[in-house]
Amino acid sequence: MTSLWIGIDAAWVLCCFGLAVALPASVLGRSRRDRVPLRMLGPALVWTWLAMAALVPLLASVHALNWATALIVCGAVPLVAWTCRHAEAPTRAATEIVRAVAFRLIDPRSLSRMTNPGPGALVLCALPAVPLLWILAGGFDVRLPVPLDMDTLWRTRQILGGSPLWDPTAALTAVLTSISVVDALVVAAAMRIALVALALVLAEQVLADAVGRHWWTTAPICALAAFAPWAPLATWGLALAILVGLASVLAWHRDHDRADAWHALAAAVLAAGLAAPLPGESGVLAGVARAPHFLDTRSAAEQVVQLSRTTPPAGSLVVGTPVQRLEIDGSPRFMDLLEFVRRYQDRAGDPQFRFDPGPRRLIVFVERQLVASAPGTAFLAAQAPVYQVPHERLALGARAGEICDAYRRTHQGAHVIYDSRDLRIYRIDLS
Amino acid sequence: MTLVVAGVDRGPAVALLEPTLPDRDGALDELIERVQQSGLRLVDAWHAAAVIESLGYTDLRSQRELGFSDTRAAGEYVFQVAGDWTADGEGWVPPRSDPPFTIVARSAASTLIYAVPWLALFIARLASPDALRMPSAVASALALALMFSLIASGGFVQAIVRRGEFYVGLRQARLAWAVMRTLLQAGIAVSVAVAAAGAVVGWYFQLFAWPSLVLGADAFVIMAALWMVCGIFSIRQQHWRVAIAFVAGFGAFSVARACGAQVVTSELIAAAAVLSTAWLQARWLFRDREPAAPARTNVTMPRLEVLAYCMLPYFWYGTVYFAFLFADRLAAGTAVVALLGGPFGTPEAYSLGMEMALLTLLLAASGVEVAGALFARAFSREAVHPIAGGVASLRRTLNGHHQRAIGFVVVSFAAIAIGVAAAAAWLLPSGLPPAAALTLAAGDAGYGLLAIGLLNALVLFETRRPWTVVSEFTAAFVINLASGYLLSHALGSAHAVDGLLLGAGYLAVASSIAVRRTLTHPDYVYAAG
Repeated sequence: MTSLWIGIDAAWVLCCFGLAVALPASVLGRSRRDRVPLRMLGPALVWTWLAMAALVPLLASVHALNWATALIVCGAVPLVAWTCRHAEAPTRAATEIVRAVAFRLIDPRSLSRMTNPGPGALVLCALPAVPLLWILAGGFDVRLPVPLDMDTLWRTRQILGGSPLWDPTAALTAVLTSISVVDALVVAAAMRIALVALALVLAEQVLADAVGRHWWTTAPICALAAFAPWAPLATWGLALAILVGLASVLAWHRDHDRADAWHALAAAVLAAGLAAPLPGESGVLAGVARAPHFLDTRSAAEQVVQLSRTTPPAGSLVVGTPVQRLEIDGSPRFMDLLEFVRRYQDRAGDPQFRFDPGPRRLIVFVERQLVASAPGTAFLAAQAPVYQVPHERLALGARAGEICDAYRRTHQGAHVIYDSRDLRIYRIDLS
Repeated sequence: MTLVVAGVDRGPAVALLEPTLPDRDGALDELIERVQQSGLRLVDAWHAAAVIESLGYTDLRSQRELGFSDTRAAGEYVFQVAGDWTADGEGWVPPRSDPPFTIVARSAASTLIYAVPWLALFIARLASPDALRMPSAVASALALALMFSLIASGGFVQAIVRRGEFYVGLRQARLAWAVMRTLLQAGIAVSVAVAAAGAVVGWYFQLFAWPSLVLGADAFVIMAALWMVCGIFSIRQQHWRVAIAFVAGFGAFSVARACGAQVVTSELIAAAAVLSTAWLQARWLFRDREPAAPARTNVTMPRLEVLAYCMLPYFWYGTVYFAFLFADRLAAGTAVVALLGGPFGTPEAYSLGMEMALLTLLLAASGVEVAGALFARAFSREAVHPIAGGVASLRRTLNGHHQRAIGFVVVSFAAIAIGVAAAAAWLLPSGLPPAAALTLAAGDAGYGLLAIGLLNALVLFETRRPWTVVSEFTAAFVINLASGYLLSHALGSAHAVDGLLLGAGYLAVASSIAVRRTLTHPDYVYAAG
């Protein structure tokens, strides 16, 4: 059931992402008669992403990033694009639109004269169907498969907490988190699907523009879709920006439209911005793995998300590793597992023992399976050394489990609420 | 063909073509007879030329049939020959404007009637805070419901009042009631839709718990309907009916509290009582005065699209005005959520200062109404005098009226602001806290500038420039909300009032410039009217 809800959340994130890109694509696409909105997806994503990268840190610096300002940020690009298109008489164009809407509301008979949306719009609406079906069928893993994405998630949490950081990928994740009201971990995991799909569509479009559409151009793209490499989100973003730049340059060379030059410039700026959060280490963006490298067990990640969904009662304290702390929504209070073990080791078995006053409930995550480490990630490098050595981390979890079991033997109110091969969760009620 | 120059006593010399046309005298007699039958009292030769052109005479026809060079020459001749007569039937008599005292009393009453309930509520909160204290879980939702009910209904109130006054002025009471009922139904339907949408948004973004959302939505619909119904009373200048409705509400609240009901329940009962009393009175407002008139006569409604087109600028003005009024409170409330993690709500010092400033505005709005009414009276009186060749003089005169009106607003606002501040310092047990005093000063400055903007809005409405009012108010609202939001989040919720200052300052300056530009061509203004 938890997996199903997570899948629904991920599907909703993809819908929000689609709308955030489709709206500016629709506005950009109508500027030329031969440009259908579908071909404007790349430029629309680039401009929207660039706007988010610029505005989100500014908003975060004054603690003004929330659902309302996130919606405004998403609406900024289509509004500016529309204004540029009607630069000669924006007031008159806006007046005509407002009058049309107002009179349609008053006179419903005019609704029957609405124009047919056309096949392009139908294709646009049908695009998300394939990944959505795959997600809802249970093929979605909420964990982040590339360690560098944990840094993205870390920066996303910091931005949502009010820190003005420059990271376009984290800014995009923060905006989608605010709009979709879904946990940032699920958003980051779902974004991978969207970025990979868009990159493949753009790659096919570039090849078709360059050499024409043939079976030997489409087949590699389909193969790539089946065996998409495990690269960081920022790398896929970089690939998208490069592809949009290439497509825009090819279009400009063919049609000599100034708008394509602007799209290419925006793509170049976005590409530079994606590499900026990694000064001196931009080479990690080129790192591609053959298999996913998870930093947490699937059970732990899903249970953490489930805990965020059910909103623990006030006074709850969650105990876990830094990875789980990063994965959980920031609202409940959190205690580091190492701190928990240091404070209560060898004391919990005493019937006179009491946990420190304050929290009314403890929820302790105990890992029971070895989890690989990931050198090179800034987030993990900032944690205690015990979490960077897999065996030490597993041993720490075992000690935490011993504390909880000892407490259960001598006290009331301690229960195991989740038990599997790789994870056990204890709930200890203190009042 | 001989040029004959004829000097005339009341006009410049004209060149007349020697009459060589057959039946010229007959055509001239016919023209003079038609001018006479129009029933108009000719003011000057230009007036005569205008009447001649309205009868279908062009320059070419004047040459061909009458032998004049153009219609102006024909007008000179007609005025010279027949300008002294007194037309048959009634000549045009300028409508007698109300004496200044009547205008002052009526304008003051129309706004003070809304300030009194607010003042009573303010004093009640000071005297007995616990009697009106609501649970924090629902207080935020109800405060937002009150603000958004005024914003959502503001446009409909403007449309209802302006259309109602128009049809009542035409002595079409039944048509007025039918149109207002239609607008009222549309307003309530929109309010219900907005309430539902707001509840969905609040649920989706997890802003409030479900009980608070439902309570807030209910309160929103009730209050929006209440403001629209109260707006009807101003059409027939029966503002005292508002007082009756609010007295009924206060009574219902007192009875409910005495029976042990909670504050929230009592307030909802009071709101329902006010609405019911107001609605019952509204039904009597448009009963036909002539007993012989048949009852329940079918009224042909005007086309809704045309009605909407006429009312659109006033609708947006009403909506944006209330949005501007509450933008700073929205910014301050969201800053509390972002910076302190608490529920939506304004800090106590800020709330106290801004409520007193709002009370000042409500009381001083009577000064704005009086100044606007006096300007309109002066504007109408100046239209009686001919303005040909005297545009510069008329411009100076109208600008003088405008500046005197602004001066009246500034002086009255300042006096009321000082009075309110002094009364508050005297009434409050421990005086006015410094933070509240600072907020009050800034709020008074902002609302004072808003009062100037409101006066300019009345002038622009009088001079048929409604869309200018809408554009200026919209820009001021955006400045108010954006700057107040950013400043309150960056520097603290108390700085939300800075947005009000910036927005109101822009409004005062931009609207004053718009009025000056409009009055630069007063002849066009009168022609447009």
